[in-house]
Amino acid sequence: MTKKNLFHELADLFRDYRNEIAELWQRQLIAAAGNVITTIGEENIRKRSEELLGRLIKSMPAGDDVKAQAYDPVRKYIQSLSVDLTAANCTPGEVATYIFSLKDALLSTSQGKFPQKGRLNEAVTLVNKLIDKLGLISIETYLETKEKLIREQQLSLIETSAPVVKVWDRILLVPLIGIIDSERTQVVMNNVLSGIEETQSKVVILDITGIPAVDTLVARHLIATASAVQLMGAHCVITGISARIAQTVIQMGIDLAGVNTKATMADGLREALDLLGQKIVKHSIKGDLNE
Amino acid sequence: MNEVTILKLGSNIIVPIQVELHDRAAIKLQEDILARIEETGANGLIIDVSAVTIVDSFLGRLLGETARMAGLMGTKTVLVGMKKEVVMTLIQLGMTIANLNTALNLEDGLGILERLKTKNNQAAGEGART
Repeated sequence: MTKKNLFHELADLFRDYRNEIAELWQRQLIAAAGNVITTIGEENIRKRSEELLGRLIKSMPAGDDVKAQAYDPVRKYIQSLSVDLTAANCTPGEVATYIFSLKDALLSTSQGKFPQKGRLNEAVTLVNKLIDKLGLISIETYLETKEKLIREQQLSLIETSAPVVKVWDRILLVPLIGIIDSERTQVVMNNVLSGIEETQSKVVILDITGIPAVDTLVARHLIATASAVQLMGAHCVITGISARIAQTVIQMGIDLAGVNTKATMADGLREALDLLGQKIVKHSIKGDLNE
Repeated sequence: MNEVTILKLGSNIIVPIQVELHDRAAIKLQEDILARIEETGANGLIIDVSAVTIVDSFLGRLLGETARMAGLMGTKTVLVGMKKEVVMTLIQLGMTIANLNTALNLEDGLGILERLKTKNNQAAGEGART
């Protein structure tokens, strides 16, 4: 008798004792996965368990390759279940426990009812392996969901972290914060150049006060942005060069000579106004703010 | 064939490029511009690329060379109105802007040109080279 036939037999057996297995599983769940039940409700979980069991029995004759097409309905169901449960604050471990507790129900049924006593061991191993694989699907789904979330957050971080502010007539300010990588440089450059096109600004102040460390890579990105600004026909002033950044830049032998740099943003604004032939002057004191 | 118009305005030559330039057309344009400078004795050149959406490394280098050639003939060049997309391509291609004057638009370009000329005249007057 081939292995495949054993799957057929097991599927038939489970179909016959379907209600019994569901009942056993539910009892197992109450004992082992209390949190899952309290989160989504006893009736709800019973309905889902029965659905999953039904799909599993239908797919089982195809063997134990859970990646095969025959297992599509089972896989999809576990995936949606995993997403729902984790969204309802269940840990991935609890979701896996939920799947694994089906094993006990299936095994105790097999042990009592399996017709060929001689092949019982083989059957038990098969069921074990199958349910383990299903449990892994739930964990993989969890990881995929999390990774997708991380990717989305990264994207939104990139989008929000490069604002271009018009601080004065024909002067733009770009405060850079956090880690600068090539992807972000592209976004910053894109935003800055669009800003120049829209406002026809003549000076762009790149403020790097919020960048923790400048290495050769960051410096190269800054120089690229500065040259792009200059190609557009505007001036670029890089501000927020702290003592430590100045030290590292020189020690690493980075050439920032072609770029206009200033220590603070205030200096940069003054420089920008100077480039436009404007200046801020004091006038007679009106309020008591200057006292 | 699409010819690029070359305008003379006072002592300046203005070249508004309105078509996408292929390699041969670009070389022809360079020759035409230099011939026009020779002919008119203009001392200022503005190349307006605000209608150009694609600049490859060849055209980028050619524009830079044209500016340097004009410089040899005593003509100051300003490249105006480069589009965002063009700039990003050029930066990715590693184009540098050494000795190339740029401006946001034609108006600013004329301003820069006048400033460059005055500076040059002053320097010549003082007998110093800049």
